[in-house]
Amino acid sequence: MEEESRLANLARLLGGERVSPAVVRGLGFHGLDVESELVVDDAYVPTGAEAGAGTGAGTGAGADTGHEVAGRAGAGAGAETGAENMIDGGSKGTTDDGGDRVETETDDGSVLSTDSAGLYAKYAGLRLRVWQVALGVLPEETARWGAAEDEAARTYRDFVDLFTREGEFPPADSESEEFTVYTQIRADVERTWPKVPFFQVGDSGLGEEEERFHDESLTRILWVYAKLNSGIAYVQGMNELVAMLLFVAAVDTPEGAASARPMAERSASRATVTAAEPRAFWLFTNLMSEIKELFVSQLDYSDSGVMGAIKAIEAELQWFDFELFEHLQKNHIDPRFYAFRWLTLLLTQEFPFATSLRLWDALFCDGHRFAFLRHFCVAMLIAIRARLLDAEFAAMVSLLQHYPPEDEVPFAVLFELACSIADRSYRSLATYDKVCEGPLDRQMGTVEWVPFWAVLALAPSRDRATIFLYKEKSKTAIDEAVDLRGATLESLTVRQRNTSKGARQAFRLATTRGNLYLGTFNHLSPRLEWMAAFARVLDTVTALVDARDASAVFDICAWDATYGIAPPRVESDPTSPLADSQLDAYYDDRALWDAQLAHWPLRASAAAAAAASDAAPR
Amino acid sequence: YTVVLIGDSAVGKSNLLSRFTRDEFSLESKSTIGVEFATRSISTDDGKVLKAQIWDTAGQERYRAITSAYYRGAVGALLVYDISKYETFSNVERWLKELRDHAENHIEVMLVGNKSDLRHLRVVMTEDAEAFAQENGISFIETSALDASNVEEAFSSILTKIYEKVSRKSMNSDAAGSGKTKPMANNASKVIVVDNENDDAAPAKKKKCC
Repeated sequence: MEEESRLANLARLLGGERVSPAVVRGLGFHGLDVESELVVDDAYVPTGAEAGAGTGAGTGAGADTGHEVAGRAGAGAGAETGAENMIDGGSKGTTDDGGDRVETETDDGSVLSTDSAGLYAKYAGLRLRVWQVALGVLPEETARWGAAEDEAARTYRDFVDLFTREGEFPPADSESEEFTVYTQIRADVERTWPKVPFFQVGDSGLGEEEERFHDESLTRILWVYAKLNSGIAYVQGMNELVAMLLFVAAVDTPEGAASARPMAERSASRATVTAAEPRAFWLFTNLMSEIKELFVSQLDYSDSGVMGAIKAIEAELQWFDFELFEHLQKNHIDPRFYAFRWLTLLLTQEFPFATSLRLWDALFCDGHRFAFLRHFCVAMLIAIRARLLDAEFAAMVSLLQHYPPEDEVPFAVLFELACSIADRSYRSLATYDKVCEGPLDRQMGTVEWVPFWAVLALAPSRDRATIFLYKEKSKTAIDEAVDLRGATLESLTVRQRNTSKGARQAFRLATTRGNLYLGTFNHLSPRLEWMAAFARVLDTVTALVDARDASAVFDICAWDATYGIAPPRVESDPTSPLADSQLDAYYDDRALWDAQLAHWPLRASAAAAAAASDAAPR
Repeated sequence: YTVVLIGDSAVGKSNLLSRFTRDEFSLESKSTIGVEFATRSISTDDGKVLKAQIWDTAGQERYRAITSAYYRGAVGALLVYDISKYETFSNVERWLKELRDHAENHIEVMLVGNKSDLRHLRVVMTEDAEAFAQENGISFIETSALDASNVEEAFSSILTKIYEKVSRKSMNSDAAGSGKTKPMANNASKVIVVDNENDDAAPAKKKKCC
């Protein structure tokens, strides 16, 4: 009973009674609405709301560009891509018909009822572009994208011509090193993501051989990479990374969007896949330039090598959860048992495909290149701490090598935990632990969880829905964004911060918190195009949350206050970020933190929570 | 007991493991990165329950530096090749060397020719493998993780051998001890090549220990 009331409290705090699971699902765990179908319970569909003019325009743009992409795939040439058009068109549209957008919003969040196909079309190419820019494949200036893509594609084709000549591909000499590399690539490619529709031998009636074109593309990309980087050549596991990239390059297109399927369920034709190859290749090349140390066995024991990275995870765990760290050590759980795969495959094997996509958004946009990966790994450990602490060696290893499914450990929980670690925020960590008082992972499944990033997007400062846009230049862009945002989200304040410290702070706030688009934003310099794209995404979120019950969101924002822990804040100017020194003093002072915890008995706070939520507006 | 599965990539190590521990086979299994782990208990003829921890390792060269760490502490190794791919058999020698370099001296090794269901594709003759095993003093068996033939036998045979070896050792050294999950660790012994027959689950083989 006590258990129940605690859960009820928690659920209420989290908006559980008011937020539809469908909304949570639609918004949350797999990323933006690009990803999940926006199925909304009848009860939650605003009456009379229909897809507005804005959506129509979006769909129109999608269709246009779809046409272009199809043409491109056929011709194998052409500078323009659908996604670019989408962004261009989108930004123009958004700027021009700001009025529409306001209307759309006053229409009680009509975006809500936008059918998923429309949404897919609207955001087609966004993820691909974000990845491309975040990984440095494309420059920030959208005007140069066409030329850059063209050149990249040309270069790749040249490589292919060069390295796949008769007798070299596959290598004729079965004794050669090359042959070994080739056979290894083939062996792995054939067993890449067998359960994802995209990679499955389908039922087109073409027969297995004909349908193996994904394998061909994957093999070619890996082969060209191996030839160009003979020092690394091919390492098992690269196939998984390339597969993700090829997948997104092939399906995150207007064409893919037109299928009206969530991204993870899309397939693509041979022509599309082949056309996507150059993009996937360069994404992979650039990704590897950042993480290749993990794959080079000579570097295994250096700081930058995989063992170094594993040690860093351990160290972080030790700092954040000493008890767990010690327990794992005592039981001889070598972190290599699990973290090796987590790191080298960027967690692709631990989660469902769709979840991995969402996670990669954050990994790539991480301002502290791939530090978020480490935080996330630590979060994965802490999230199942109760089980680990209970288990013996064999059970622990199994648990770590077969991470519990999402209904037991929701992705959002992991994400938020990782963000907390990124913020070095003991407060948040302790919150999870204390609120659930024990086996976090066993209870979370029963709780409705409002998407963390919706909360953060709306209220990173936790008492006002305020978004900071820090930027050192591009005043015009900011102003325009202010207008955009002002027109649609009146509660949002956009401020400019001209200092690099401010920018860093914003990064911490936005990027490390995994708010992809906000983070991308800061990372990329706020090109108007990006702002527009972001603003539209944010609109959707806002509309959804608004349509539910905005106070649900703010309840959560008040969570801290409810539990009697005030976040560090400069009172005089709530919009200004804390000075670094202040933050550090707060976060680094473990004693201070422990002292705070000591005044934080769960029951007292639960009572306070109950009182607070009774008083809360409905 | 800790047993490792080693051998070239894509010879079916992971499927052998899943067949033995969960009685599952998947045509769609992924390549192993790093190591994977499973357990199963079997009972011996004399009614003892043997608890086996089996480590499945990545096949590729690059991962050896990492996986070799798991050899340490392993009391048994199944060295797997694919009867339909000759290279995987020719590499067996390298794997043996790998074991000699990194594993316990008295590790029990069994050569396993997997994919015996692919009769029409066989390129490694049973006799050749048998001869090789004999020469190197290791035991040998052919299995198919797909149709499950001999999988149980392979594992239980190696586990039984280990069990006999360990109980013999603890008797000899009568220093209490009682092996359990960490039976190895000490015992400075020279490289001892196990003499053995081949094939089948015939136990009764022993070898000297220090």
